[in-house]
Amino acid sequence: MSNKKTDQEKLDAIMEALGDSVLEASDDEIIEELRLAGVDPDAEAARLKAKMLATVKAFRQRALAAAQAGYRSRLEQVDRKPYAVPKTPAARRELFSFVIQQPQYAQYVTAQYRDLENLTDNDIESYLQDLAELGILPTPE
Amino acid sequence: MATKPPRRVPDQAAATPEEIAAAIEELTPADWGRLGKFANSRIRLLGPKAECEAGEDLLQLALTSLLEDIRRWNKAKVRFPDFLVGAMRSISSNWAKSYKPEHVAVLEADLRRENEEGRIFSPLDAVREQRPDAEQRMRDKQILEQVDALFKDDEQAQMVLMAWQDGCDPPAVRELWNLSQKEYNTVVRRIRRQVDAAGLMPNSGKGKTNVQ
Repeated sequence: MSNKKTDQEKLDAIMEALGDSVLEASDDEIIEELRLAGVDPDAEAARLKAKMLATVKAFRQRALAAAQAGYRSRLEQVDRKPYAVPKTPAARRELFSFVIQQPQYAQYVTAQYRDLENLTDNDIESYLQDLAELGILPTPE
Repeated sequence: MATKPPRRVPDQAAATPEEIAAAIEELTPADWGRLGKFANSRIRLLGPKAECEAGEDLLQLALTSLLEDIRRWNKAKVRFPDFLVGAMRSISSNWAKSYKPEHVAVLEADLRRENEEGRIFSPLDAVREQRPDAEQRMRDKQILEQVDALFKDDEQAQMVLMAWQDGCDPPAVRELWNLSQKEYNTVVRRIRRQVDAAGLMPNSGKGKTNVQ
């Protein structure tokens, strides 16, 4: 029946079936087999649990460190980024007027900024700088 | 019929590191024992193809692949131990598929050629992947003989082993030999414990061979 298989294939089939049989074994059987092999199930569970939890902790610390590094990098980019804010108050007001009328920028513009006539030149310049830092205004060529 | 690739668990269903840590906390000693034994069986099965030496390294890799979002666990649909088993099975199967033997017979050097892109190749490359070397074949034969010897007086165990070697899954084995679930479980438990006790581990290439 199994003449056509090599010894390796036969052995692999046995080992695979034995490995899968563990998944069907009851908890009591597993505990008993660990004890038969000279393993303390509770101590082994505690050891493996500590090792796996340490892996999760290390991963979270790495992820946090990467996020912090990314945040620092973005801050540095903001500091270095040249603003696309026009130089004259009239040009800034014109640009701001254009921005607040664009639907895609609506989420960035609060109600108080939509009343253009009540805004000072300083308000507009400051708000355009905020938008530039957010990367919403185009970077100058 | 074309097979669809497995659908990736959506972001909102994928377990977070906090949920993964909580699931680890909830595993029982029997869960750990089962995972450890399964992991060891995969390493034994792969022998030199395994890319780590111990079962718990494979278990660790399954967890790492989850944390690094290579794999995702949908905790609403899959038990955590079942996820880890699936991940270990997948990782170890990938090792087997990508395995390239490191050592090359000396005489084969004469057959090596360089292609147009400067890559050195041997006509035996394709053959080698499919064929264990003489040492491995000898070891496999010895282990099979030892398994046979272990169960020479256990007819039921021999029947189950023979069916496994032919690739039968548990329902097929039970049907073939007309065994009840309980009888089958009892025989399998006997085989597993005796093989474990005899230390029959065909892990030839990683310095952890238990077979002399």
